[in-house]
Amino acid sequence: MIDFIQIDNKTVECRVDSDIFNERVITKSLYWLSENFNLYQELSGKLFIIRIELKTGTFVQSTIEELKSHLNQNLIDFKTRDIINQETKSIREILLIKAFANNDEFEDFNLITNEQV
Amino acid sequence: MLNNTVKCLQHNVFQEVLIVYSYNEILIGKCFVDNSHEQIEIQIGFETNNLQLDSKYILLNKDDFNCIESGDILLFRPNGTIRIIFSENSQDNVLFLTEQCNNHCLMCSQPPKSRNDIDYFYLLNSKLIDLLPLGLSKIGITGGEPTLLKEKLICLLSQIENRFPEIEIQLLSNGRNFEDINYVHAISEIGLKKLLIGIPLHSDYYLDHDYIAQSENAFNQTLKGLYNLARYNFNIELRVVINKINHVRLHKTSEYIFRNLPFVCHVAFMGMEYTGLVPKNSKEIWIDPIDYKDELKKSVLNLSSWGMNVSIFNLPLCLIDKSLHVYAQKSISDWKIKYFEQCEECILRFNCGGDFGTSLKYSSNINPVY
Amino acid sequence: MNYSLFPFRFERFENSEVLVNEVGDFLVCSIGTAKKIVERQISETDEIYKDLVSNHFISTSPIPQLIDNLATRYRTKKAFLDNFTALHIFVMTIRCNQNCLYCQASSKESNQTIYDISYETLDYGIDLMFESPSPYLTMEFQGGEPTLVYDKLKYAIEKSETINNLKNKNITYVICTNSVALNDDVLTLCKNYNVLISTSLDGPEFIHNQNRGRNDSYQKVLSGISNARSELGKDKISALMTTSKLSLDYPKEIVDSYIENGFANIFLRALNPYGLVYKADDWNSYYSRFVDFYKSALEYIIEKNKEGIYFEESFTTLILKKILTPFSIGFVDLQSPAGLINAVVVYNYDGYVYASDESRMLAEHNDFTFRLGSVKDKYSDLFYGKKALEIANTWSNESLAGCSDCAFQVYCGADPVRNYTTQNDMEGFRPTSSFCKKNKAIIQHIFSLIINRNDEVMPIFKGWLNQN
Repeated sequence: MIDFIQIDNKTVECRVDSDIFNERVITKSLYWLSENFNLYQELSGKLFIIRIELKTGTFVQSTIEELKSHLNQNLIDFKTRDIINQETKSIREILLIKAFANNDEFEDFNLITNEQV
Repeated sequence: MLNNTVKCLQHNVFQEVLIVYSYNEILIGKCFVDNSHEQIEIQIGFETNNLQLDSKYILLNKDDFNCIESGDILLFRPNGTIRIIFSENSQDNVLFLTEQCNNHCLMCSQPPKSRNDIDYFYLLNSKLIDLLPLGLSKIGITGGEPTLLKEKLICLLSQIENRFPEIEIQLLSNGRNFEDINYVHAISEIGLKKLLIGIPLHSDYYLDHDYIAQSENAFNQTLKGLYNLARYNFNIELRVVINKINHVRLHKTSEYIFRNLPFVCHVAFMGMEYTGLVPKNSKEIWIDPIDYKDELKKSVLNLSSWGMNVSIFNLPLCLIDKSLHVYAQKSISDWKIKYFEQCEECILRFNCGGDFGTSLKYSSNINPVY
Repeated sequence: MNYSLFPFRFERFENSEVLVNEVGDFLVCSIGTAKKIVERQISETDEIYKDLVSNHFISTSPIPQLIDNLATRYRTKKAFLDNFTALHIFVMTIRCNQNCLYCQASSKESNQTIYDISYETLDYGIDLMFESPSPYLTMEFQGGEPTLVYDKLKYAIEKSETINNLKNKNITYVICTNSVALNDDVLTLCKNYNVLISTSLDGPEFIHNQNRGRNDSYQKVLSGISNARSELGKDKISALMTTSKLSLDYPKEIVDSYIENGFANIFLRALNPYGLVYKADDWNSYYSRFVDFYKSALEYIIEKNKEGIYFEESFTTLILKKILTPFSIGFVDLQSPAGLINAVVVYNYDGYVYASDESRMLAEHNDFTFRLGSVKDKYSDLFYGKKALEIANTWSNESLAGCSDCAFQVYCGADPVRNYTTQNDMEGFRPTSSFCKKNKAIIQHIFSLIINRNDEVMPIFKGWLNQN
């Protein structure tokens, strides 16, 4: 799905269509890679240019394949999650408001903190 | 309150009860039978100015006459028939509030009628409550759908609470009208100490439930009603009548009950009475209980393993798994219990609640256990 | 097929996809199901459609009909918030009579009473405790070793009892002790006020003694437990273990020692990265090994249960309660919003109030990030003040990076103190978080058992849940 170009022995780069995957999706997908990699993302026209740099060591082919597959899967999954989050944002808010609204103590909490701050 | 007494006249061939009333009044009377059964004294339970001797009388044949026991309360119908609407010796007395219902369940044993009978039954029951014996410990309330009486139900419940503060009431309802939180609040205000509300749940999936109830939105309203009742800490018994449509998801329904309705105090899995609307809908709804034996076992043991109170109603012991016998209750009303010839040989006969005498068709697997 | 979505999260797990909704109901589906749901490729005739509707994953209307019911269920899951702070920890002294390798308490071996709590601090702390709106209070005495200051223990309990004659709360007293100095005075105090004893037993003798830095500790602890049991009753004594590096190699031996010593449950606890231990060591390696330790111990415990011995693993039970039941749990260390302040607070010997047990240990290293204020401060300043507000920004995993999309969010919790201590930031960084890796691995393991060995483990698990 996404093709990697190898820049040097510890850096690869790829391009992602911003029409398909928005910035939030890309950031979240990259977040989970950031234990072992330094990550850079930049929007150029309609494409996100993503640079992935190994923190230590150098790339071997199997690592690149693994990384590619991991990133691809993340992008797909986080896109699905993003849609769910978008569609259910107001339901979730309503749910929380209804769940806690009748608790008088909860409302008092807000009054007290307003005074404090 | 009691101001008219009529004595029964003995006749050589028949034993007649001579009664008089006018057509527009509801006539119920409490019986006092002397030991020799030669005389029945009936006290008419309401005031009337129009008591005219000789406008109507009722003939009872010997068998009916012999059915009547002291303390029975009789309803005398305009068509000349008599009905025992309360019997001191029965464990299964109910107040019947209406024949109307806002559901139309495929397996309903008391098929609803559309005639507006609320005023009639309200009047009847409010007089009946006044006649009930003071020591009465439990009573059922049923229909149709009792909550269709709206505030009149509240009046009746209040009336009961006044006369019988310690009485156990089992109210059967489809729960839909409890969607109105104000209604639930009003019932709560009556202060009944021992009210149990029995509410059927047909499935965890709303469309299956609605289909069985033959009513759109029934599931959602019932579920909202259940949560409203829980807010006011009512005792709730969930009743799952097992049929051909819902037995497939029975285990999932039991999981749904634990996760979403853990507050109910009792769950009853019930066999079907082959009467009422069942024969007509038989193809869709009827199933031999032996065919859902496994689902029933999984479902009962599931809820029981979560510490919920579970029972099995209306199923003979030979049709359920042995491990479930401990959950089976003798739940069929005393006057309609039936055992079969083969039951004489069954070692479980005395613990078994039998089957419905009113059913027109039975499982072909009722066999003695040796 | 047009339907609306309820909020839910998902994760690929072994060969399935686990979907979890906002109240912890879960469905185990085939891989790609979440995507299919979102792309509206599930049709009304699919069996899974019924499951999705019934379990609150999709709804037939944009505002679901049963939204109020779901809100009630959500409230039930968060019921631990209802009463606010219920656990009040009093650190009576930092002095101790043991020398545990992994001591979180930075205990000082000393007779100097400057390391003891003052009567004044006790007075103020107890007053603050009674200002909590919770009708249930647990007053827990910790240290160092609290039995070294018997007079102050007695004073604190009696003072609480006196105040409670007016306040009428339901109070439970707990003493966390190493049981080495459980003398008659202490036991009588416990008997008179129904005090529960929480003690430490790390496993068989060689492990326990090595962990404690004393070669007679094990015998003393056992004799202390035995005395306490005969004086107070078996159900009044509970034991906690800590898994040191040494412990990691002996899961079965540790479980056996608990069974042999008459305990019906064990809480397999990992070390917290605070206190005196392993400063230079590799925590990642420890936690990875801990997960293996946990799995082995749990497997052994399951075998024991199958042999007819009732023995429960407490952490597993907590997770199971979150996964399998609609109820919330009272365990303060795995909640969202986090347990600190909301469920637990610490009145330290130094006269200050801290947001959690771990927070006061940071103070021993001169880090006062989680110090809420002085015991003399007003209740509202301490519990609803600036510090509390600051911590509140990161105390819900619903809004933390990495956690907000996690399928296991509902079963897990947030720990700003842990994040701060290990990663220098209250929000934390999930990809390297040992808290995340450990909890996720354990939750996934429990799911794996439920999915793949359902008939075998469910009766055992339900037995544990019904006891709690």
